Amino acid sequence: MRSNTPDRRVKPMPSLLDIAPPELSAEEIDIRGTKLRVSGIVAEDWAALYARFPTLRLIVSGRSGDTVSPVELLGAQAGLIAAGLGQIGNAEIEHAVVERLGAEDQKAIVEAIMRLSMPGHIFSPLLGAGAPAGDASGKAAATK
Amino acid sequence: MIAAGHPPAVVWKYTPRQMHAFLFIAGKRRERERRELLALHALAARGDPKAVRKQLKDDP
Repeated sequence: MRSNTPDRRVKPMPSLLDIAPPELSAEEIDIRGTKLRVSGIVAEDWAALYARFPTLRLIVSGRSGDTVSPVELLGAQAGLIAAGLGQIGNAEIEHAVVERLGAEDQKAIVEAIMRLSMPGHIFSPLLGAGAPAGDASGKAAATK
Repeated sequence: MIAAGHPPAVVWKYTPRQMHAFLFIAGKRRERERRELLALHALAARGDPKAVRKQLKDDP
């Protein structure tokens, strides 16, 4: 008898959006009334991010454990968001991310970046960055 | 990726999501080519020169 559950061994065929250049598959995200254009991060930018934020490498390799400090995580996340906004290495944008965006806003942007960049969800630990200590919900503290 | 014909300089401009999709497509093509090769070998192993010639002629 045939089961209705999908066979996990059968990988789904990639869609056109999977192979489209990042600028074509970019998405607009509404952050408190401001539209931000977010695109996937290309390999050379990932390499630059890994070199600058070893924390990202640890997370990807699954070796982060408890060794990653929240400050490092926030810095890496700001760098990642700047890269997703097409401004890799732009310190001004990174500072603005840390100062102006709450955890929930950052989470929304990182989720979009990861969805557009990665075939899976290997960066999930990063999505909690910016949340107040002990708050596992990732809810943002009130922002000005 | 490079073995599948993507120039190295271009590969650096791909997102991992694109790489994954291109590798999937390349893998499918290799699988199909292996099946075709296996079918040809099986045909040749039967030792019928006429059938082999016909198959080679039919190939585009």
